[in-house]
Amino acid sequence: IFICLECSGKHRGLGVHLSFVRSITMDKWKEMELEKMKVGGNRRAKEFLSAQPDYNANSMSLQQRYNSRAAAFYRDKIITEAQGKTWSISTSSAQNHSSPYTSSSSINYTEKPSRQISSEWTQNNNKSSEQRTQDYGGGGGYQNSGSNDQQYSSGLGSGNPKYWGFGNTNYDTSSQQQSSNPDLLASSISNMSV
Amino acid sequence: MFGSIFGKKHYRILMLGLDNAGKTSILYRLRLKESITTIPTVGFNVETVVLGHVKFNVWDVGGQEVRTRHPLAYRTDKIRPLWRHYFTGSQGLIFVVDSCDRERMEEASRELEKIINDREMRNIVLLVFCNKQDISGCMQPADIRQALHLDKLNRPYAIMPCSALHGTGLSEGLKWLSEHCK
Repeated sequence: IFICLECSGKHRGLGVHLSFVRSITMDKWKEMELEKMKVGGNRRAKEFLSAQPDYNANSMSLQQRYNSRAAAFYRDKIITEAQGKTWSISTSSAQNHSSPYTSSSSINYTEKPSRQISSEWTQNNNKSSEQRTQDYGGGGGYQNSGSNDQQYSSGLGSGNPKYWGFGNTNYDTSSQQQSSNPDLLASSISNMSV
Repeated sequence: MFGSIFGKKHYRILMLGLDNAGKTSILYRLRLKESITTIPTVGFNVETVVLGHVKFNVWDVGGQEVRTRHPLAYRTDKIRPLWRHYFTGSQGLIFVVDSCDRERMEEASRELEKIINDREMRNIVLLVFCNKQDISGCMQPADIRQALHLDKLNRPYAIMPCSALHGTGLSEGLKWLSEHCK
């Protein structure tokens, strides 16, 4: 769909799995992105989404609308048609989509991200947005994924393991091999402190 | 640096990354301590961020690939090549990636490679912000290190997961920069 500059700010905040913004003047466009624009467009998007039972443009927030199953269907439809195939709602991979807003079960974005596309932007001032800070919610409760065993204990960190970083701070020029050796790197980052 | 002896440190930090990685959001989260809705940056934003006794002059340069209205772009319509104009005099580089944008990690990797291989950037200290960690299902810092080929990098760097939305991880990253910038 085509959106204005101000809306592009809101769409950029949704995350690329929900809305992918490109400028028609400032970005390079991939072939597939152009195909998606050809099979998409504002009117088709509006018609499709309005026909879906779980979609209501008036009562739902932007986050809710783009998290809806209707939007997941439409993303899948655009991707499929952009590849020159025919799309059917009954075989869509978005059938098992669960919206974080309509279902209490786990948030699960299995569908491929659609790349929604923006158009000519007009200049506009930045606007602060209070609603965004609430929408993702769940500030606490982050868990250590356990995937990065190179984590170090941060003396001043947020106390939240998710936000611990790592790197090769013990790098020195005399031992260049160090950073190319994963084992040595792992040992060097373990004694890094922020 | 001379100033650092007296505890008055001042660093010039350049912040780059693909469009919509969250550079401007990070800058204003650091500066204003609040999350703002940004629009694509045309040109650049510069803000001074003070953290303890350290002053950071952070340059946030737009990430779009093509920029027709950029002040330096009167002869070319390519913007990312114009990042070069901001390299000189920078002590630290913050490279921001959108941890959710798996499809463009490769593109981010290519851009980062171009930057750090530039002559002007040979002494730069690199901090990678893995932004948008608040979104579930995003890439983990260890995977991003792989995707950006940082394990092959011969220079000081740090990877810091962060969220410009919640403000997590940002000051930790700057603190690391201040300890490793020359």
